[in-house]
Amino acid sequence: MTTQSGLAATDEASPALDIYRQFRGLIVSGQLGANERLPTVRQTASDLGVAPGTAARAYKLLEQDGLVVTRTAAGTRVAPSAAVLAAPVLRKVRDLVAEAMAARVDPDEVIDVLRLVWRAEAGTGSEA
Amino acid sequence: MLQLMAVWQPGGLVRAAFSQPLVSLAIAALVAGCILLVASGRGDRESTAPPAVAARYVPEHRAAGVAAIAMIVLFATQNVVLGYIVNLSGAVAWWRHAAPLAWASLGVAVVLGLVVLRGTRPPESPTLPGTRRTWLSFGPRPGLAAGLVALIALVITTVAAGLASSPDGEGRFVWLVIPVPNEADIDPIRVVFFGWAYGIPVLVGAVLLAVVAWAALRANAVRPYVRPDTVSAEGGARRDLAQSVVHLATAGMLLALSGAWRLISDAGSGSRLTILGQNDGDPYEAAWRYAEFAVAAGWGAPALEVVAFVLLLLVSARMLRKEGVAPQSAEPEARAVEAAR
Repeated sequence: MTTQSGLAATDEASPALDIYRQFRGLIVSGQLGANERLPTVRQTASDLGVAPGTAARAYKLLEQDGLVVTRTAAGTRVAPSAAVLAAPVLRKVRDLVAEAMAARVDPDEVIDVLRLVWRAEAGTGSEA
Repeated sequence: MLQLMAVWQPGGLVRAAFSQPLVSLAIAALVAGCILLVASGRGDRESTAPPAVAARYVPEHRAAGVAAIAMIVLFATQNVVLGYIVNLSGAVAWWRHAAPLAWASLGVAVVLGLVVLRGTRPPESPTLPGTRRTWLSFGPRPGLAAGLVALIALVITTVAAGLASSPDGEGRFVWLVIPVPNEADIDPIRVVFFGWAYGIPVLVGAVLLAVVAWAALRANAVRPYVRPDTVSAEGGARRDLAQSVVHLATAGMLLALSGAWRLISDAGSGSRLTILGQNDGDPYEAAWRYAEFAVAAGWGAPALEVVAFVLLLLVSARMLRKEGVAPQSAEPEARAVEAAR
C-alpha cells in the first residue's frame, strides 16, 4: 500500500492529499469495512468545506493506491484487500458501540466482556 | 324504537362513540400521556448540548412540534365545521380527505426549509465522518417501514375504491352503485363513496408528502457537522428530527386513510331501500359485494386515527422538552476522524 504514485502529482500540503490521508487512516485502521461505500464526492466536499474537485482528486488518489474501487452506479467502495474487517462485522461493532453509549457503559468494560464472550464462544472460556 | 335499542347495545354504543374522530383524539391523548409517563419514569431525559448544536437544531424541532399541533387543530376544526356548521350535502368536497396530506406536506416542508436555509452551513471545523449518509441514515427503520405500509395501504385503498366507484350525473366518480338483488326493475341504490373524485387528490397528496418527507430526511442527513466534537450530539438531534418527520408524514397518511375508510364503511356496510306501496311496505335489503371489507374498515378507521394522533402528540411533546439536544447513540465517526489525523 504505497502513496508514491499519487503523491507525485499532488502537492504534499494540498487539501486533496489531506483528505486522502484521512480516508486512508479510516481504511487501514479498520474503521471502514470491506466494500463499504464511501460518501459521495459532493458529501465529502460539503463535510470538509472544500470544492468537489478537491474531494474528487482525493478519491482518485485512493483509487490509484488500491484502497478503494470505483464502479459506475456502485459508487466508490473500500477495496476488500485494503480493509481490516468485513462491512457486516463493522456494522455490528458500530451497533454495539451505539448501544453501549446509549446505556452509558464504560468502553473498557464492553471490551473486556467482548473478549470473554469471544473466548467462551470459541471454546476457551475455561482458560479465561 | 328498534334503532334506538340497537344503538344502546354495547356494540352500538362503541360504534357510535368511535364514529367521532374527536373521541379518537381523546383516546390518543391518554395513550400518549401513558407513553410519556413511562418514558419519564425510565429516566429518558435530555442533556444539554453545546450551544452551536442547540442553535442549529432546536428551531427545527420546534417547527416539527408546531406542525404536529397545527395538524391536530386543523383536523379537529375541519371535523367540527363540516360535521356541525357547514352542510356540504350535495357538494363534492374533493379536498376533504386530501387535506391531512396537504397539512403534513406543509409542515414537513417548513422543517425542510429550516434545515436547508438555516441548518445547513459550512462547518466551523471540518469533520470527515467517512461513512456515506443517505435519507435512511438517521431515519427510524421501524417508523419508516410503518410509514411505507401506510402509504401502500392508502394507495391500494384509493385505487380499489376508485375502481369500484361510479360516476354521478355530472361524471364525478363519487357513487357506489348497489343493485337490489332479484329486482331488475328497481333502480340500484346509489350512495356517496370514496371514488376517484376524492381519490385522485389523495394520491397526488400522498406522492407530494412522500417526496417532501424524503427530501427533508435527505437534507437532514447529508448536511455537514459543525465540529468533530459535536458529531455525537448532532447524530442524536438528527435522529430525533428524522423521527419527527417520519411521524408527521405517517400521521398525515393515516388520517387520510382513516377518512377514506370511514366513507367506505358508511357507503358499503349495508343499505336499505324502501319504496312506498311495494314489497308490502318492507324495505329492500341490498348489500355491496365487499360489505365485509367495509365493515372492517369502519372498525379500523378509529384505530388509525388513534395511532396518527399519538404520533402527532409525541412529536409535539418532544418539542416541549427540546431545550437541549441529547447526545445519543454512538457516532464512531468522530473518533474515526481523530484516529485518522
